Amino acid sequence: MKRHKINPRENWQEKVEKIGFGFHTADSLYWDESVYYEFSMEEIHTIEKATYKLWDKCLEAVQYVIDCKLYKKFHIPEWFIPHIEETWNNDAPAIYGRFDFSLKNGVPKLLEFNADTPTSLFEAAVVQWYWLQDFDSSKDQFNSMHEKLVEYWKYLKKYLYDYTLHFTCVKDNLEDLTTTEYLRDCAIQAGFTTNFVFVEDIGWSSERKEFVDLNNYSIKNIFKLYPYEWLVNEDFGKNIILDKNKTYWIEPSWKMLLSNKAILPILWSLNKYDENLLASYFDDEKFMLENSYVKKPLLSREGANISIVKNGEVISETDGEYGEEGFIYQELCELPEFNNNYPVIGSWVIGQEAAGIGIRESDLLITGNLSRFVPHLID
Amino acid sequence: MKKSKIIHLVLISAAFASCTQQKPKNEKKVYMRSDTTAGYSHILGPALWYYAFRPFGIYNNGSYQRAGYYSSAISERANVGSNPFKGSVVRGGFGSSTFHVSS
Repeated sequence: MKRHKINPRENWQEKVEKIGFGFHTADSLYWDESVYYEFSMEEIHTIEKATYKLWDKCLEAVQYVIDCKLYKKFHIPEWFIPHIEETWNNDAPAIYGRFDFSLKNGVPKLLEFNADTPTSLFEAAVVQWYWLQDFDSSKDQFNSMHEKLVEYWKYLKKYLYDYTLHFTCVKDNLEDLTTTEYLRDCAIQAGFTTNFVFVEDIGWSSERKEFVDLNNYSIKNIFKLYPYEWLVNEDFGKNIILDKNKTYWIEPSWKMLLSNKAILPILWSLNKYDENLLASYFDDEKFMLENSYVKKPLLSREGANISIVKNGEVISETDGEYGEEGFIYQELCELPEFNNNYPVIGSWVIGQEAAGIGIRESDLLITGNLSRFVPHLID
Repeated sequence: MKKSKIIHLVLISAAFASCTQQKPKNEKKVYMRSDTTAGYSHILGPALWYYAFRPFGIYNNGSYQRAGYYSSAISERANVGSNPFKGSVVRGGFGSSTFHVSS
């Protein structure tokens, strides 16, 4: 893995905007093509292999949590447990997830799994691919995400209701809307009839006992870029189980178990000393990590409320509003450093397959909302 | 080979085929809905992507300054209101948790 400084394309902003990428710059630069990372094919194979393996381990871990009824560890409301079990037992359609890896000394280490609402999909699947066409189209990239998304939507068609596939996300956020609309684009290419409704506009018909869109049409299949922990705690949350249609929510609710950091100690307990896992524990066993560890909230986003403790001292920490549900403690694995830049590799699972990577680079050891998306190639 | 052979986007390519790509002049607001009751499904094809995603910026002596996004022009008023068909339908029961999702 090498980091290269290069000159961005002339008028790069215009180029990325032309393909629909409007949030390349926020308060600071988000899409950064003044840099790229180069991987060897061997490194890519290592990441790919780890992604396949960990996906299998995650499915085993979900079964274990369900069999052993470990829901309290995840702070999941009791009334929602039957829904989780039903979606798991019925193999309800799921489409994607993103493992975040630290790649140091050639071994990917799992930092966390964004299994419910992973973002940076459009940047990884489309924007960096177009960048490579301009930069050096003879080079390869670990990125077959677009084809895999279209193909997997096609595959899922027979497992969903023969009805419109709705898409939803919050209003007034271009990043979320872009990710959602990109997935809708892929679904259209797979042959779905689609519709879009902002999550705030989803209606509940108490007469018909169903969710409806703005035209009062039933919602029976819906992709949501909106986390379950928010859905179930909001006013309409309990309507999910009252819904007469038994709507297919994508991702399905069993993904709540994988998107929760509580899955990390579970994975470790089931696969101790796996080279791609970091030792992780709940509060009662954190002494196992002695005085160097990373403290993470069960539920958090954009690197919020994380503390890195090394030799008993906090060397980095972030603020935020998370942590109410509790924390897990993970073995300290400092990210690789390239001139004070710290990359995290997001490795995507589309359907059941490893599909490509996207890199977020930060000035800090904790990858937060100011980190930059940086393209890559294989050489 | 690991990379995609070709990437084709139907929403956005259709949008660009049907719209000019000129930078807006003084027009900064494009309302997705013109009243308080109509759904926005009539523009849910290419136009949603086009209006919501198309940022506009200004090049000045080679430097780029972003002026904004069309998405900021989506009126809050466009998403409230009532009509006879709504009947027992209640809205707004989702979406109150926080501002956006990125993870």
